[in-house]
Amino acid sequence: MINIFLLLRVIMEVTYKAPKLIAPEEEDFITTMPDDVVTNILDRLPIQDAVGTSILARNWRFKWNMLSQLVFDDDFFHYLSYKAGDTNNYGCIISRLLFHLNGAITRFVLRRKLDDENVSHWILFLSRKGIKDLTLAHDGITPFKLPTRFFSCLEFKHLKLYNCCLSPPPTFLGFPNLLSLQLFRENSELGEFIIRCPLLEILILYDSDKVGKVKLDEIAQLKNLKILSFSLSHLNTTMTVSSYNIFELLDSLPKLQVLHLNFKDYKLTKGGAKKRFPAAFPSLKALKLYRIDLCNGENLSCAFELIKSCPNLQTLEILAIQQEADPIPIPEVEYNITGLKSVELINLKGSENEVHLIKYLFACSPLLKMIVIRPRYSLAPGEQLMFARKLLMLRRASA
Amino acid sequence: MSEPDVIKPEMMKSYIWLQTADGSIQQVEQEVAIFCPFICHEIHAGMGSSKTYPISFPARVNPVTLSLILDYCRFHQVPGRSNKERKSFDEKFIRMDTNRLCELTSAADSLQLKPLVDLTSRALARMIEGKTPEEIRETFHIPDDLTEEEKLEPLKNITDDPRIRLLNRLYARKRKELKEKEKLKNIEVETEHVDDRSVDELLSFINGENGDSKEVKTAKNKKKNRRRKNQQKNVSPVCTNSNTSSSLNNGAKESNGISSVSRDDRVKGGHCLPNISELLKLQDSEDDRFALDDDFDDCDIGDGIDPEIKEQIDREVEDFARRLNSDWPERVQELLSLGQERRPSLYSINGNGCSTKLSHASGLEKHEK
Repeated sequence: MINIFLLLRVIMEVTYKAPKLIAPEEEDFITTMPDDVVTNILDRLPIQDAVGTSILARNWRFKWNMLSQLVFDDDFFHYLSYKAGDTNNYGCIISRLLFHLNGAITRFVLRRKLDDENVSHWILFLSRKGIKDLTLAHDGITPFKLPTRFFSCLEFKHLKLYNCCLSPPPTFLGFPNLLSLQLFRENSELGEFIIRCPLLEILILYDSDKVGKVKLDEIAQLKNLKILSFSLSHLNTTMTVSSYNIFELLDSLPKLQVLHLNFKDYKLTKGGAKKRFPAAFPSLKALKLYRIDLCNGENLSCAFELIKSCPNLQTLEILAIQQEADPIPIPEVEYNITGLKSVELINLKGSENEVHLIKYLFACSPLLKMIVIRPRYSLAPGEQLMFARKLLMLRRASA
Repeated sequence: MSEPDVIKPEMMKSYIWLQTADGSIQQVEQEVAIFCPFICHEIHAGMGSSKTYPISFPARVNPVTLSLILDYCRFHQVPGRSNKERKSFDEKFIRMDTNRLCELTSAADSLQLKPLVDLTSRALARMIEGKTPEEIRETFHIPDDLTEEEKLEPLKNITDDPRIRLLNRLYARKRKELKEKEKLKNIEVETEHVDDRSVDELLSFINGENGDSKEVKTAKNKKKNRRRKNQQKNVSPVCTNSNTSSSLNNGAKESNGISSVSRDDRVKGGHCLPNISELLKLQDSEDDRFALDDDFDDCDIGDGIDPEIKEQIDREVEDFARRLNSDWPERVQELLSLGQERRPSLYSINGNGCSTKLSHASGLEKHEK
């Protein structure tokens, strides 16, 4: 029996023809990879390279049709200008490209001012393709008015809208899945829009001349917020802002980890000084105070309080401005240990208040690894020298 | 790598049994294996705890790939490593032959090990980015099996512009030529109708001047000119037909009878052929009409007409004249009946011609009314 089997096996091996005539090292593996893996790879390529794979081989002709991430950024337009020349054609080229796409499109980035008509049509197209991440950015003068269809894409998770006009229709109920929103130069009822996106984790409002207005308590409703960046100019001016308001806001955002606050030359009012400040904000890890005038007493004490009440703060950045000339009494502050690891103070003048702050930071930050102090550009060398000397004399808690 | 302190706990580690598609079985520490989601699921499903029930891997995972994946898991599952360490490990890890990298990507994908899929996909993307197609084909051993035309689909404007533009132009030229050929074919079909008209003109000359050959010639020339001018107009044949019918009416004595007959016919049976010209057209079709057409086509531009053809036409003209002058009423009846019978056959012979003839008829009707 065994002999027969062996014989059969020998016969089979002799007659069996190996299908591959090429050595295994020379085989084409990439073409046989599963579609979603290939799509994953093509998504990481610049668009022109991804489309270019269609002329590699017969099997590759339509692999790019499953692209799910489209990024039309400066590199792409630079490439187009080199190849296609006529800038009026760009919309046409992109439209034609979109026409070929078969699968879902989850990410779309457009960083160029193109014909509004075209962009509206593309948004309509994308709304049917499950778009989740949209970036529309251009530096044109007139803002782009988002079509109504935009507000019915309920799958949005990430939105970056620069220079767009956000005016939702009355039926708009919000983007239930929106996780991150970055707006620049929008002019609309921002507050109403925000409160309808309850899952929002990242809210960044870039400072600009024409901004929408939002109330602090509207922001306070976003309980999931992790990263918040806004300017005091975004707030309704009917309400003056005091330190207490800021602390109130922080208190209502339990998950906030990063706060960028642009004072924009504002002075905090004295209101609420008698009320007890909320205790601590353990979740805040990074704090950036932009354009804060440390010569102003309120501002300075606010900065101190913030640093004090965030025990887990790791990074601190302050960009200071100097408006007030008259000296103010230096507030009394208790010395608490901070967890700061990196501090950056830019545009300092070397005034008493600023030195006081630095002194505090030095004294209370045993974990401090890096501190960058950049003095004001216009500071005279003599003054700079004085500043430096003062700093060197301060006691340091860190190694 | 293992320190002496760790030996004892290592002895206590549990092992998972894994089996690849080719049947080979191996053991792996559990903590390493559960870094991989696929294995994790299988463990929860109860597999892998003993040699008899190993976790079997999908076909894409061969032993070499599996060992690579396990190396990756082994390194990354240790929590204490810094980001820098992990990055440098990753960079060294992906330094391998492209084919192996592809296999690894597919295997990692089937095991749902997303970090490894991202790492390997990024590496493969770096290999593709910025390269020309030839370079990519060489790197991945992709055969070059596209025809030139397939490479030239219009959308490729995005990739290799100048060459493709040129080739697109050539392709477009070819398409144009094809279209022109088709047009010529259509023209040939059209000329049959034109020839109908020419015969009508002949008839007019029959009645006018006894079918002088010269007239025939001029008629033919006229026809040719008309063919060149009015290739697609159906209106002009209508006009000529009406002219011929009117001339017929003016000419022969019996024509009045004919026209009256035709009108009566029209009144009686809507779809009967009311007109002499129509009848004669039918007659034409019986004769060597199509041969005549072809001949006309062949000698299209020349000034003179082939003498043979001329003779043929002369004969036909005489024939018509004889028929016209013979017993009219009976003849008409005969022709009518013949016409009705032959109509279906006419349709079968030349669909296009039929439709135009019909339109001629309807056009004539309109005109007459």
